[in-house]
Amino acid sequence: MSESAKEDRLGKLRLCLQCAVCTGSCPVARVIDGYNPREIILRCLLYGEDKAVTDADTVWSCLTCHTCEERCPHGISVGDLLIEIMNRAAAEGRLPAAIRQTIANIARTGRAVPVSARCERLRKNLGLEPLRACDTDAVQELFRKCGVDKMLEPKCE
Amino acid sequence: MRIAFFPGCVIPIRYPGIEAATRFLAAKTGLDLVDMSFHCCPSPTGLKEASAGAWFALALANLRMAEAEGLDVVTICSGCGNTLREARKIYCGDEDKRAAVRELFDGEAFQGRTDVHHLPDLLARDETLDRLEAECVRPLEGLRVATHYGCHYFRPSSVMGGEDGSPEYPLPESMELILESLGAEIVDYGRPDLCCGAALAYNVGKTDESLRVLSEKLDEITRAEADAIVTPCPACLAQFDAGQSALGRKDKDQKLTPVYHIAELVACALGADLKRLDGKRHKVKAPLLLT
Repeated sequence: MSESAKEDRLGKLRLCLQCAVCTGSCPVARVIDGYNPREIILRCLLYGEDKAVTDADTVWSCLTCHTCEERCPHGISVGDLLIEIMNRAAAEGRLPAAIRQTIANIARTGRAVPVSARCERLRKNLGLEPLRACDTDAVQELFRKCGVDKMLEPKCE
Repeated sequence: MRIAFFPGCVIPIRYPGIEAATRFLAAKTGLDLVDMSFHCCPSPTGLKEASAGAWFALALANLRMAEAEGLDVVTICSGCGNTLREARKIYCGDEDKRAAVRELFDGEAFQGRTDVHHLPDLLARDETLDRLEAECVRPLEGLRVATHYGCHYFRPSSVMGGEDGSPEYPLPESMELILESLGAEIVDYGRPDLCCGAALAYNVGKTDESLRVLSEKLDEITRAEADAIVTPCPACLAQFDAGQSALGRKDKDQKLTPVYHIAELVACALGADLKRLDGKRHKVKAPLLLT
């Protein structure tokens, strides 16, 4: 994010009323103790975004349903803020195993879901063509350029 | 209308019957689907959370494939539709981010000409609704349907709202228009915009919590006495289907409501060979797809 974009966002976060409409609307906050978008915004304001979330496990529970920002009276993009917090944790090697596996699938086949012989047989039985091959070299090159290949290395476990 | 077909990952691999249904209804409604070698969209609940930069780059790489053929894109998954529309919007509106991806692609990644449509949006156009009414051979009369769009179909409204900037919020009505034209009755239920909770299970393994979110939604649908749940998203479909099945194993009194992808119901109503729709893949018995 550029410096001006960071300033814009911080300015926007300063509008937060701490009214907790985000948390009250959040389907995750109802079922997971300690998951609280209002508190995450407060911590960003008090300690800075890079130090806001110490318990990275919790933030990954976001469903990305975007209800929080839809209902925020100041239109704060809570979803984008959470994505950036997750991105920062991932860059430090803290990434849920299932998401790492999905990314590894994309790197290997171009698709997030594992492809199997059973699936190809079913497709044939339904009169569908075999799955097309994806350009995995191009996918892997973009992953390298964006640093995603490093997230897949075992040392991140 | 020639259009690039974006089947996504979940449907061609886990639910190929939905792909078959889409191909059938496309032929019936004048959509000429062009197959391309698209990779994962990628999902707004997966790669984007690890690296928004890589998510953006892969989405643009998909869009430029369609643009090279001069085609718009049609999606059959709310996640794919969201990612491709958001990436297009960011690219066309954020000079900083556009400059950053120019380096990745050694030049301009995309011109912004290719637009992205979710299947229900195309089917809900007036001329196509007329065609659905005319071609319907298995009317859905008497079927009480609860629609579930999936969060990414319509949120955030800043990305998923109409071309004129008007938000489709709280909810779109494309599926209502389609299903009514095929004879179904739409039932209103509480909190239709509530998330299905799927990502809590498949991203972080919190299956019980995921089912608690689903149960809140199911309670409302059951109260409205719906015969069927219809969604345009395979992730939501899997959550409703496998989730109800899991809840039913724990509680014998759990009401099980059949779940359909919108393409399955449309193809069924338009007279598709049901054996090609693979209805037995559904865990909760889906009677309209069974011969």
